Amino acid sequence: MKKYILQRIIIAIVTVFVVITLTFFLMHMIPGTPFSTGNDNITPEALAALEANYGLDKPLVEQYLIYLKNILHGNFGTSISFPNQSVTDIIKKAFPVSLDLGLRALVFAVFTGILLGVGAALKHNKGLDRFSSVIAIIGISVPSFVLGTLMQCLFGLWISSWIKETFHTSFQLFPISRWESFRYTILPTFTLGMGSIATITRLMRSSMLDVIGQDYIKTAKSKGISNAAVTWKHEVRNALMPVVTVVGRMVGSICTGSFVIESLFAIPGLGKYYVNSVSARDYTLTMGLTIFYSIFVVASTLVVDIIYCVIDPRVRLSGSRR
Amino acid sequence: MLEIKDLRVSFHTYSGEVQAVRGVNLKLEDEDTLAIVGESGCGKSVTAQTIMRLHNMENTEIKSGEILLDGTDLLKISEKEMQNIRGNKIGMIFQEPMTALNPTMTVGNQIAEVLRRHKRGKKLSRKEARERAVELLQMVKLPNPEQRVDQFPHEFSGGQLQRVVIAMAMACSPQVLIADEPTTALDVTVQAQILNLMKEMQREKKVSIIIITHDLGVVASIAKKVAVMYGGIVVEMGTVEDIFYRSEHPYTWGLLDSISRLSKQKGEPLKSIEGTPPDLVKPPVGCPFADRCEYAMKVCKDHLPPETELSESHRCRCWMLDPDCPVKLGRRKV
Repeated sequence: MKKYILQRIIIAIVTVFVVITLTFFLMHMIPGTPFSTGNDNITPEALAALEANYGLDKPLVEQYLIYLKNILHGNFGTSISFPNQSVTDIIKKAFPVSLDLGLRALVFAVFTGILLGVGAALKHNKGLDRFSSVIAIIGISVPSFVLGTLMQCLFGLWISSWIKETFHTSFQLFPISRWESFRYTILPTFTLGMGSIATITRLMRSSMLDVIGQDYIKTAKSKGISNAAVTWKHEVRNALMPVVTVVGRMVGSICTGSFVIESLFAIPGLGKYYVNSVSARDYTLTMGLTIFYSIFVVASTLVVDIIYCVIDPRVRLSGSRR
Repeated sequence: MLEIKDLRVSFHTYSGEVQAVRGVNLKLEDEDTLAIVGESGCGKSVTAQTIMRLHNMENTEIKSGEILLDGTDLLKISEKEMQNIRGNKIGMIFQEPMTALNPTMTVGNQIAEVLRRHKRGKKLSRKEARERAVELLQMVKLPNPEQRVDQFPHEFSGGQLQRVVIAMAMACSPQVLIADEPTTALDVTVQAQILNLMKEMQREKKVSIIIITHDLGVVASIAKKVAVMYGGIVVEMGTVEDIFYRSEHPYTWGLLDSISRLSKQKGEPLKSIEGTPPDLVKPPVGCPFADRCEYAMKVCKDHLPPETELSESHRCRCWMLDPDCPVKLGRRKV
């Protein structure tokens, strides 16, 4: 087991290195520089001075090597578009918000998805199964900006104003935007989680149906175990395995911020910085966020693989016998 | 003590109602071994699973019948009461040991599960349950039970897994052990070991066994009584001697003829029964075997033959046994 984890960590480091290298050169291949504003109100001398200041006048390979040296020292540089903030500061400030929203959405999606999936499988081809299909279709096909806007209109605006008019109070059901207290988190959490709910529900349903048909479920029933115990101890536990893989992959994408949802709900998260840094050619910020993102994804994949070993004894590797 | 009376079971499928079991009567005495023999789709497994009520009840309909275990009709009691009987009074062994155990639980935990479910009297702690599981693995002659108990199914061979399944089925000392083709998935040497183990269990634990098989070799080595099923009904029933030496039904003859024997000459073809079993969506009115029977008469196609009692233990459904039948083939030697 130790050897396996060590091996995986080495692979992870190589992966991150490849990501850094590819992103670095791809990013510099995009036309334009951080200082190309599109009009000529900047003198060539000033431009040259700026580029020299950020080291952008050196050959690309040299820039790359300098960058590698810097990040090995833990120095990710300062943002070009936010000159007084270091990349680490921006991550420290914005990531907790994205992580908070992401974890909320993930927990919401995992619980709802698994319950809906289990319910749909147990009531195969009945009402609950149809309902979960509808949820899944909505979750997969409706883009988050449509769903988010609808949620804002429905819960933030229409229902709230109806309540105000009917009961003459200043009560607002859910705020339309910003990130302040628990009430503010509900709509973005729901919107962000919806896509994942769909995936998890469908996967859990098919995985459950597969497990229910297995011989060992019949064996468990022949032991006189109650239906509830068979469902939870034998069926759900075994059906969770493919879900764990998918959820692991979701952690990376959900927790590092969604540009659309963060913009829509005015949430000061990381997603906005990521997208803007690319269009602003903010090289240091793009690189820093990419490295952060890839480490996060690689780490969550590693954690999933380790969890997998724990829940499915068949994937335990040689030399790890209990 | 276990008696099946006029059992009729149907499945509702897209192609219509499949009448899988069409009036089966069976009786199992204490410490008896009854083999139910027949080809695929004859209703033998359905009969056995109905005793345990393990079907998906959404598409299964029990049209009529009683399954009496010590006088209680298992078809009438509630699901909760049935759960108290499963694994406790009736144990079951399945065809595929490789898939019959949950791959994510240690075999010890799977045995402990049934022990803890049917604990008698005081609560069984985890540790005690594990100890009992080790004893049970010892009982089924699995080497190193102390270590094996904490291993997962994929670390066992097929024969070893079948031993584990038997240990699990016998854990609560049931009155009846139902074995649904327990040796079909195993190779021949392991088959013999498993059958010997079952015989030993029967001697030691006084359990009655219902064994479902299509292998007459298995029948000969373990059974005391045999029921031959065809097209959802029992066509012939008797002791092993009745079936092997005094059989009266052409289908039984066919089964006996199709056994491969070492005494066969080189190049001599293996005999088989021509044709296919009847479609149970539209079961034949007459004898289900009539279409494939070389002795079939007109009456066979139109009327189901009644049960003829040949001796106290031996019953057979065939028109040739009717006093008015012109053809007398007599007792056939196999």
